Amino acid sequence: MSRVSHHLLFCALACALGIGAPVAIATPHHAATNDNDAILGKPIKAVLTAPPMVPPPTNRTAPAKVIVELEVVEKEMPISNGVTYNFWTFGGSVPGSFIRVRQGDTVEFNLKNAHDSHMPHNIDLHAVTGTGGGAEATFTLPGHQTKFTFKAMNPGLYVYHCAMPPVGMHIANGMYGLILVEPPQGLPKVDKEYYVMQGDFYTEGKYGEPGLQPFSLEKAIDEHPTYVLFNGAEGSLTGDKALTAKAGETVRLFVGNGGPNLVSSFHVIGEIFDKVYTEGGSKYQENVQTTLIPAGGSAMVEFKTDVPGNYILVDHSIFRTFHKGTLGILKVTGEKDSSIYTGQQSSMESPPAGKSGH
Amino acid sequence: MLTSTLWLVLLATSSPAASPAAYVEIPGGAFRSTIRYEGNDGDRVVADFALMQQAVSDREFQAFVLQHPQWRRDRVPALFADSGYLSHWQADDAPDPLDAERPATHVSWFAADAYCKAQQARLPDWAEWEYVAAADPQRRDARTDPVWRNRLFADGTSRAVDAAGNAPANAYGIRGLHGASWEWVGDFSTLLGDSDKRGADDGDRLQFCGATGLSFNNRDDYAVLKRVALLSAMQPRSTLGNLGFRCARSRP
Repeated sequence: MSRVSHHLLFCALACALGIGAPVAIATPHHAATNDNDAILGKPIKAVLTAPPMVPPPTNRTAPAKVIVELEVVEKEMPISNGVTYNFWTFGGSVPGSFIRVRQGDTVEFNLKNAHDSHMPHNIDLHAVTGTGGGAEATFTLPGHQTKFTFKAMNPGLYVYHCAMPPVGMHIANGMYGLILVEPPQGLPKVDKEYYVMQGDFYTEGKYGEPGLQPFSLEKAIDEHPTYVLFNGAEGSLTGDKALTAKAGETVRLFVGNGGPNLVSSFHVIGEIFDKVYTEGGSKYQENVQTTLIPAGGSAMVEFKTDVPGNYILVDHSIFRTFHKGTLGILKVTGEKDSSIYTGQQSSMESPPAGKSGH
Repeated sequence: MLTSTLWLVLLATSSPAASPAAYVEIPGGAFRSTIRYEGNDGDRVVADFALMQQAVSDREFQAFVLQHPQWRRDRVPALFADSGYLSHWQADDAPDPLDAERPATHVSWFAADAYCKAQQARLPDWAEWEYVAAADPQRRDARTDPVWRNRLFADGTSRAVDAAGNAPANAYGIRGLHGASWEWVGDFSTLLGDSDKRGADDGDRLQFCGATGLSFNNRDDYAVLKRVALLSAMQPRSTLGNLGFRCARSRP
């Protein structure tokens, strides 16, 4: 047999066995165009961000091996003005660190549980295809770390959360976040991207009662939250922490709902969502006022900020907003455009009701 | 197999321990455990036994280590203790003297078991531990009180009801069961569930804890659920900074 036919035979065998073509034979072109082939290049360490920030787009045309390193931290943080809570967190924030990968990526997930944690924790990523979403594989004692690897098969915006018993309590204490699996072509370019995640919280004390507030199991079971919040604290998206954009910019909000109990009627006062990727999936609806986000679910909303102003993020199940804290602000600066919105044009006393003409 | 053989060797070389710790007689009784072993959701009967009034302290554990130097952290076989074993001590055979009265932590199940055996005692069973821990200072079973139950969420942290040194004893006269440290039990490995704990493959019965026939009689008792979650995460050689132990004795 000639040398050539040896090569052909080897290639045929490799293909039949589903093995990626050996390096000696593969051409760069072949390797770069097939997502199912071997992972290209060196592993990439994932950039993780605390809310409301989002890691930059992956800007990759091919899958990679991505390493995620996330640490569970239990810590006391403000939940409202003068009120603190013992949060359990992924990465030190509520919601947890935002993770961004690309469809086809092989993700090596490393979960660390801080030495001073008092409980074991794990993580169930809804982006994972496989038993427990990784929860089984990441059963992690305080002061330990675990690792598992998954392939990001489906594009979309997915919730992750702790799934240790008592599961409800781990979620109620803030153990959730979002992982974005970009489609191969990436998401359409926008000017600003932000991370907003709702959660309901249950404390022994009433809304606003100062001091460290313990978790209330009774309220959690009854689904009567004391606080309903964006990004884990009242005021996390207001004042100098408001989200910002300039008039004319396009904004994408990655919106999640950690629950544990409530679904969200997500709305931005004064804006219409040009697009809503419903339930964080691949299809979008257009021209939406309010979108429903289930507990353990998400949505991507996109809109252009046409005119300046303060646009208020709310849960339009509206008593939550003004009595339990679900309020954020997107501050848009720039030139006014009275062809779109004038503001108040006049204010006067209306004429008294006319006497009956008869 | 290797483990148990080595274990017997160690046991044979250990000698009786010195300092007698205070034990409290616990009258047995029928008891509805929060957790349910397969096929048994009725009362369990706990026989009379005795339980250490408080958790074994670093100072007491040091006395044991000095008498049984095979349990020093620089000599203990890796089979019996992980790298965290006594890692908070200032020397291989000495805790920080300022903290020596605090419950001994960073102790593996093997080491705790050896300690108790050296006292002619044993680790309490889960059922015994839970039976006594159901008490608050006034009542032998305070578990139906939601206020009491909620306070137990802080178990294993410095905010725990028994974390303060001057916390009152419970109705049996036992101290510190709901302290800043969790406690080993002898049969902790029977608490093992699957590591996901949501029992995805076996429906309702396993909704709260794993696949080894364990479930919960009382879904409101999240405090105990946290404890079981922690204990079931352990290997017998594992150690934690907030996991200690105390010993028990059966009635002769």
